[in-house]
Amino acid sequence: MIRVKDLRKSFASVEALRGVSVEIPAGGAVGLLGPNGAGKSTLIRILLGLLKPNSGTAAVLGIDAASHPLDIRSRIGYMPEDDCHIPGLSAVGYVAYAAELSGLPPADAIRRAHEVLDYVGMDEERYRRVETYSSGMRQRIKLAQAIVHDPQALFLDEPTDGMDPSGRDEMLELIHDIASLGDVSILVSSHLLHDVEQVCGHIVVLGTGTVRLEGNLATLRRAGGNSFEVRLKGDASAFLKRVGEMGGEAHGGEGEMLRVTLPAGTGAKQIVRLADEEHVQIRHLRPAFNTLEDVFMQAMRDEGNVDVESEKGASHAHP
Amino acid sequence: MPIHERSYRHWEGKRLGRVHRILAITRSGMTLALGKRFLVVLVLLCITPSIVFGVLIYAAAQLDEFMRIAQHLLWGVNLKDILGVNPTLPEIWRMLFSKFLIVQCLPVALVVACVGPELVSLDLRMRAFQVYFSRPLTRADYVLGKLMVIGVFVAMLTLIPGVLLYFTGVVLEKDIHIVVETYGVFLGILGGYVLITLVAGTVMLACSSLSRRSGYVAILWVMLIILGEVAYRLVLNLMGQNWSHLLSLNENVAQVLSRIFGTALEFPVDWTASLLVLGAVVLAAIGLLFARLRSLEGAH
Repeated sequence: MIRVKDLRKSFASVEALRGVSVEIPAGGAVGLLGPNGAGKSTLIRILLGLLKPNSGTAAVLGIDAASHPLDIRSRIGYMPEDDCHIPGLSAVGYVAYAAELSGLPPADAIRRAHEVLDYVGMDEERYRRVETYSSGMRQRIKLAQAIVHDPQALFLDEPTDGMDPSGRDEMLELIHDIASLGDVSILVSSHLLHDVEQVCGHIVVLGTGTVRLEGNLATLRRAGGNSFEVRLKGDASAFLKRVGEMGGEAHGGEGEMLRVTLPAGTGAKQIVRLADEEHVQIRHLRPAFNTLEDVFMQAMRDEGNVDVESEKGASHAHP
Repeated sequence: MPIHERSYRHWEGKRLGRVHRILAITRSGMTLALGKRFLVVLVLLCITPSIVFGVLIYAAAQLDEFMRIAQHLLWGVNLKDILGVNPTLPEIWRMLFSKFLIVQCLPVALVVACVGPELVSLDLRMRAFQVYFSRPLTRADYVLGKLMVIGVFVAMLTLIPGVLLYFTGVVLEKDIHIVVETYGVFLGILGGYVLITLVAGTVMLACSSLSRRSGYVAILWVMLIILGEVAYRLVLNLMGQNWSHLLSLNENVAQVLSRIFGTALEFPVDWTASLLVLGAVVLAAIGLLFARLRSLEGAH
């Protein structure tokens, strides 16, 4: 879907992107993560052809963003982070207008507007003026205007921003549904790691204008090393001591789920053997997966100069 | 098969071209403007000078008849000989239509003051640029779409009544050859309309791009018109400069309009100076507008 090579962009003395290179496959949903000032918005604006990079290339759906921005914009749906609407219009009028701006004939535009409003779960309230909507409803309208022209790719900027838990779940379900079609590629830029984890199969982590991490989410989560989730019945202290003696690590208290990391070359068999020798019962044993938060925090720690705690706070902002 | 399918569906159809998208912007602007009842009333009021000019066109058509009756009543004395003028109908029409457009400049300024401020400033306030510029639209498309909104309202006050008055005159003459003699007047109406739309439209859109508050934009527009006029009269009265009209947008438009219709110039100086001033104003307004849009487009 997106191919970016050595992309650089500066605003006066501030270098927003410092040689970003990334290739994102088409199909499914991709999460674009990063702290404030990481360069996410700049990257999206360059991909939409709204900003010209100082150097490097950016292509979306195989089209060069700098030389053919209008071709890209006719194939892309963009859901901005900010509240934005055309004043004086109802939701139907607004979404139909957005469709016409993308080139749909007026009759198709109105029909399509009703279709996508049905899809995003707007019922009779679609005839009310957009100014009167709650923030959750506005998010739905923004999604509707982004998909009304049936784009091949969607750029969603903080799609669940300002939504209540049930609204957020519904929005994520919609995104997941569109992504599961397979023929619409989605780029989700979000601070909410939980949201990204729910809908995205691939992530790109930006930090201070560079790509810190990129890859398949499942692979990245598995990359936790030789770690296991273990729950024991009995006195675990001797077991934990033995794990330490063989060069491993174990976290967690008595009766809790333990996270056991063993040295390379060992495996689950060693855990079973140690448990047997220390006369404790294994009630649960499976390879441990990193959460997206772990993956993100690790990427940010590698960066070294990012306020990891504040980002962690942001990631915890969701329920 | 479900009775009411609510899952995501693809759209298969042929997209329309750029012109359609620009017209969509214009239609949206018109809908917004015509939602104000007072504006509709104002437009109707501002068309009323056309009635006066309609009467004058009728009088011009009956001029020969009037002279014949007068000659009969005045024992054969020819009024034209006494007055020392013998204007032809095309000359009368040129003078009438030139004055008509000059007179309409004030109502145009008034209506544009009501329609124009919201055109860009409201998009600024509602951050609607993100909707426009994430779609296959250029800055020029956006500006053209908005300019056409002003163009439609200017047409309501100048072009449409002007063309109607012209054809009324043609019908009253009962001679199709009058069209051959006065086609320049018809072209003058079109040219005058384009001139007024360009000047009023670009300056208003530039003003509208400067603030999120349409009230401030309206004040700025009125100040531009009034201050120009005040400066013109001050310089004329205090310094007696014959170039003082160059300070006023309205007077410059009047000067160029009188040249377009080939009537006596409003000011006894070269009309190209006014044309250059108007050209510079339009270019500066377009430059400012595009610079603002460029910064907003990249900033959202």
